[in-house]
Amino acid sequence: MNKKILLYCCIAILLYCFSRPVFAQRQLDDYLFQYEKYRDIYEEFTLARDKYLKYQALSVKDEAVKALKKLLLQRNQVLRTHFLALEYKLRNTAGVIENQSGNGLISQLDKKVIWLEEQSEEIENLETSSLEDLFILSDRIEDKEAELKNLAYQSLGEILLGRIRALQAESVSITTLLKEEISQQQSATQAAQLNLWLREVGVKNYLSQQEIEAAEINLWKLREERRIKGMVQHFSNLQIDVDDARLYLKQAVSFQQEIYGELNYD
Amino acid sequence: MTKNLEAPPMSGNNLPVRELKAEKSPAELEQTAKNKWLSYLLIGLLIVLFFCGGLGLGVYLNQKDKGEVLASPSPEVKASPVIQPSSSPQAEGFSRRLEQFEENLEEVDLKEEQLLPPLLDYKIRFEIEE
Repeated sequence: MNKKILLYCCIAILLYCFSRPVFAQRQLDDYLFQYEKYRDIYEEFTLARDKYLKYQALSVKDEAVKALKKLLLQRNQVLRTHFLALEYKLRNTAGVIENQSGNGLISQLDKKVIWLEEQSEEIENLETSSLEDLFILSDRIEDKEAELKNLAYQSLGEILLGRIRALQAESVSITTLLKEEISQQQSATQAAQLNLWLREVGVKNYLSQQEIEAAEINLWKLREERRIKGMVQHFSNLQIDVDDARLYLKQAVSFQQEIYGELNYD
Repeated sequence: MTKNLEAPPMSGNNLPVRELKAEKSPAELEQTAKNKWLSYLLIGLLIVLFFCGGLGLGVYLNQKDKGEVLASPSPEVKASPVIQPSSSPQAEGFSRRLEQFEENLEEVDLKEEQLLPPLLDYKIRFEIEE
């Protein structure tokens, strides 16, 4: 009996250990799975559509209607899971939650998820769906294309900015600690030398901050943009800015380590 | 005197041979059933406790804002009044923090390519474009 109890305990512990990372990855996996499924369904749809356009018969028309209905449902499902994955990332990225715009984006994503679910419900509830009915429902998503993409790019931009903001805050915090350590150095000459080095770290932190601000401007431009091409451009600029900020922080941490080494071995 | 023809009393060597060890008294049987029931209850309780604990911890960790990057400084790395050699706990904490920071800088994903907007056909038409 004791062995049995031990076995159950081990299973329970293993389940607990594996459950958290599984939940963390679930949203992204779900989205990627739905996207893959969409690609398959799209192929089926193009075959049915081409067949209908070629033969123009009623039987193939029915097949085309069914394929179109399936495709519209799946397209909504991809968008829905994509937004849920973005929402999950926004909620779990350190530098985002403190930010007001992050909360605003989460609420917008929520609303869009509900709207997409309603659209899917409407498609499913069509009893005798015709191609025309389905085109009308499809156009609703088409009309929102720019809006949906803007929301996705904004969320992604906010996630990237959140990450780099958190790293920058950590670098500043370490610099402050180093400053305190240097001020307690017994040798005044060495303290002066290390303070000069620390100033270099400060410069790198400042430069990374400048890049973060440039990225924030790009995010603002992205928010205001209505053309998809423009959104892609602003997002790509934002990516460059956050990566530059990271490079400055890498230089900063290398200096910080050097200073720390001097503190330790003297 | 009349001869007593009744069966000899059941004592001494006259006792019937039975596998008494194999048998259990009703009290023992009751006790075994009780033990079995108790162990099932214990296993059930343990599983429920683990799941509740896991769930609670999960909610707590989520609320604690633990993303890919740690934002808040940990209290153990506060600057010490006197600079100690690397063996001091403060110095070790600081060293760990620097290493962790460098690791985060290397590993941070600033592209998120998997989450870029999906390429979907928004303009579904039934005309084959040339």
